[in-house]
Amino acid sequence: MANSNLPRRIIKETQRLLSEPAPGISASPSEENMRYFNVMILGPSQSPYEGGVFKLELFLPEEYPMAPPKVRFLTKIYHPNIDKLGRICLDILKDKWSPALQIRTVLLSIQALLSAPNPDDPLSENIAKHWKTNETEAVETAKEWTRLYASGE
Amino acid sequence: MDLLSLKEHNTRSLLIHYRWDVEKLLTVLVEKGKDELCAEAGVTILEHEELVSTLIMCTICFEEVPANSATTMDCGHIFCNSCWTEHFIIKINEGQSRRIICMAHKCNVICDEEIVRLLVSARDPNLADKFDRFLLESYIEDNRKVKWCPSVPHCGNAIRIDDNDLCEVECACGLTFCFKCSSEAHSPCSCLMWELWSKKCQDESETVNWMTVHTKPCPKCFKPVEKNGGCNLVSCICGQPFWYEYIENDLLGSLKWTSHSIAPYMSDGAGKASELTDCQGL
Repeated sequence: MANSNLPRRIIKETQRLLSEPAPGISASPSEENMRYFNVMILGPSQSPYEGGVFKLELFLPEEYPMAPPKVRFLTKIYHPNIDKLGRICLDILKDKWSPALQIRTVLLSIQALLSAPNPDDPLSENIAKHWKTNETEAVETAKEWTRLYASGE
Repeated sequence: MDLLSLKEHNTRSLLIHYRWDVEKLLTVLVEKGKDELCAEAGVTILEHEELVSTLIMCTICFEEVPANSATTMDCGHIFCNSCWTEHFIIKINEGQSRRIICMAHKCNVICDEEIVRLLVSARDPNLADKFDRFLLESYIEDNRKVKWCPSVPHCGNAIRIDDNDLCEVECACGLTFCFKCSSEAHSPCSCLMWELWSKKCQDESETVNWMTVHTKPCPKCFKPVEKNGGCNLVSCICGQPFWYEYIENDLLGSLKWTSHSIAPYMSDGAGKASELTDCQGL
């Protein structure tokens, strides 16, 4: 369906993602729909998500690159900017999107968000509150969730 | 804007950013200098050399296009015309004509309106007209000293005042209004007081509700009468006594009450006085 008439940009980006993947990130298009990507991000070292393998889905809407890709975590994750449905609060996925950004840059930004949770701009109120009142404990929970849900099996 | 030797679109962007307040713009210019002034408003005034290479790789669509099919914005970012056009169309439709920024990530520079107009009109002339209208309207909507006349239907006029925004103005269409709050002229009472009053007047509907439930119209003068105690024989302020419940059952249908219920009271002066004191009308 969407595979016919795939814009050159998407083809090029896909080729580059497969040939030179960014460190700790893998993204491959689904066979049925070249606009749908299965993504894996490794938890960054020195973050509570270290050692975890996080699955995400990424979809390029019809308007891409004039509109941002839709990205969502499939793996459960304890993070103040990610809600229980896996939706991500990240400016470049909303109003700060620029068509000059790419799938690669979006995924790198998400990886960076794992290293630097921002409880001041929360998506999950409860997790953000936990983070602000007792960071050590919140980080422990995040590590626990990484062990439980993102151990890569 | 000869003072700054800027292009028309740069000047407009500056004025939109400073809400058409020329004095404020000049203050910023004096205090912070031209560079800061422009940077704050997202205006870049660098000169660029013409590109000589014949083929350009657009980093948005990844297509190679001849240099004459690509456009460099004031910030130096170059993309193909087709990508620019799509970007402009999306932004205009989002109602952002006044601040269409460059497509490059984190680039805050406002696109040259000439380029926008040129590229958009090639694909969608109607939208280009819309863009022009939005830009014109910015002079009114972003300007503290200019306001649309609030007439309904709209007379199409806008009014500019000179300094004091606490004044009442009369539009050419004849409507007088308070420039500050756009409601009808209300001096000497303050805008806040006027707003509270208007609100109170709108809330009148509640009063009407209350009256339908708690009063009966006098059969003679039709003023609403509240029975505030006592028996069912009440007296309106117009002097007309009537039988309260009776009216309820047979609302103004007939005036039978004159023949029976009232009669005993009417004949008994003392009784009437004592009964009617607690049957005051509204």
